[in-house]
Amino acid sequence: MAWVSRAATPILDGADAMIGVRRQPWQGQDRSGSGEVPVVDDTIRAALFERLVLPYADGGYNLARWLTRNDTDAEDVMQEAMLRAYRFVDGFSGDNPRAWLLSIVRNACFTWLRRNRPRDMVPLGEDGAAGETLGTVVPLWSSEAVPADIQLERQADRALLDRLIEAMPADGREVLVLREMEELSYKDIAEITGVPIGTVMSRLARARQRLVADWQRAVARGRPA
Amino acid sequence: MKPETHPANLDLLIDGEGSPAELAAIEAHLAGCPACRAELAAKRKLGTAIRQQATRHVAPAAVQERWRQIATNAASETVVVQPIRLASRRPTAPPRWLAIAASIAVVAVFSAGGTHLYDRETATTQLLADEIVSGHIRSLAATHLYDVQSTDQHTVKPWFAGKLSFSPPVKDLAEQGFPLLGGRLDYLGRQQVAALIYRHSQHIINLFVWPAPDQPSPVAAGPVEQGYNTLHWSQAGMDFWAVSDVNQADLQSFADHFRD
Repeated sequence: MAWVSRAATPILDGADAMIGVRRQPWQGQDRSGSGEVPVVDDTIRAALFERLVLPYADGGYNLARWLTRNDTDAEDVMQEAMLRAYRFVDGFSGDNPRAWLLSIVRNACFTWLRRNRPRDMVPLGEDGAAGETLGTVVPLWSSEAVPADIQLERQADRALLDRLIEAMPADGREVLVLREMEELSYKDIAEITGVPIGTVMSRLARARQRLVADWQRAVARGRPA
Repeated sequence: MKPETHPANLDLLIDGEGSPAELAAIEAHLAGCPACRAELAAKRKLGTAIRQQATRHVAPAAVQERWRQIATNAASETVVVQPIRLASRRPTAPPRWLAIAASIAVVAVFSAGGTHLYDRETATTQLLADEIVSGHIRSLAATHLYDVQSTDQHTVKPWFAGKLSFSPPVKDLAEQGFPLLGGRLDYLGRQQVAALIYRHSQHIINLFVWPAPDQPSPVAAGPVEQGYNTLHWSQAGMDFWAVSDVNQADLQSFADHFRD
């Protein structure tokens, strides 16, 4: 019976290794120490899945959809992530199942991106570049440049913002979705993406900076002078 | 303007993060810096716009139902595994995930009990191929192709001792055109396995090895997954799966040399 689980270490670490993230305490731990784990009854696993995974699946799908940028691939990647979550849910021992699931989803997404959309993997600029970007972008940020009537053009703006977010590099999109849509804390985002909080902070600052600039530029282009 | 004096962490204020001291420092700076005030206002406006206007994608009901079924089907004893369409790149129908979800239990029960149903065998093979190709891709993408890098079989084989409960056969096939590059520990189906890495011209071959009580079985082509060829066989109480982007004939030749 080659495939009955004997070793407790999940294969999550493969995805982690691909994106070079730090291992989280709840990722890939050997719970038993002895290497022997009881085979978990599927009924128990199903109950855990329903309680710990399914409630957060919507957020997972939103993230997958934003990272893959199309329905079909988001569904595929999400299905794979959910299967993975199902298989390893009995090994989850942390206190934040939402972050746990989102980290599985994002790892599945980045594995997929690396394979299918390597260009998306080009990160946002270097940390040190924030100051320079600021200097060059500031002129656009006079209060007059921020469109006051932006709310009036709901439909057009929806399409525009979506398009601009989709045009961002994957790491910027990820942090924007997690912060602005899922409203997660820096700590949770750091846990999910496997980077230090400082990196989350600078990535988010850069992502917002870039999106604001893109947005203002697009709005300015869209209206006659 | 002196950009280098602007605080880089205005966002702390937007996100309600940061210590009181950090926030106070940002506030103090803002009082005297119109540029940063404008940046802050623009970023706040952006956040509001994203929440109000950007799409929060919701999966179709059928997709959500598929997530729920992962648990209910796997927990049910009466799961029926349908044949896998190997040619399909994107199985929309239940078979593949059903097969995976059910696999651990199914494989355990049916390979032991001898009740081999064709569909389940197919599903199992598909599952293995999935995992093996994933393992192969992982090993190439990560900087983790080897745990032990050596072309010497007498270095690689002892390396596994103490790390695994079995001793995988290791052969250097340099003379046959498949030089050994090293070895690695890997996980497949939550089991620790040995991975031997070989090279054939510019292609990498991963050979996964784990103990199996099954009878010896001849070399058989596994599914082609994402352009990777797979082959498997059993000998000397072990299962072998080879995976690579070399063509099927070369992979077959590799297997033949290894079995010699």
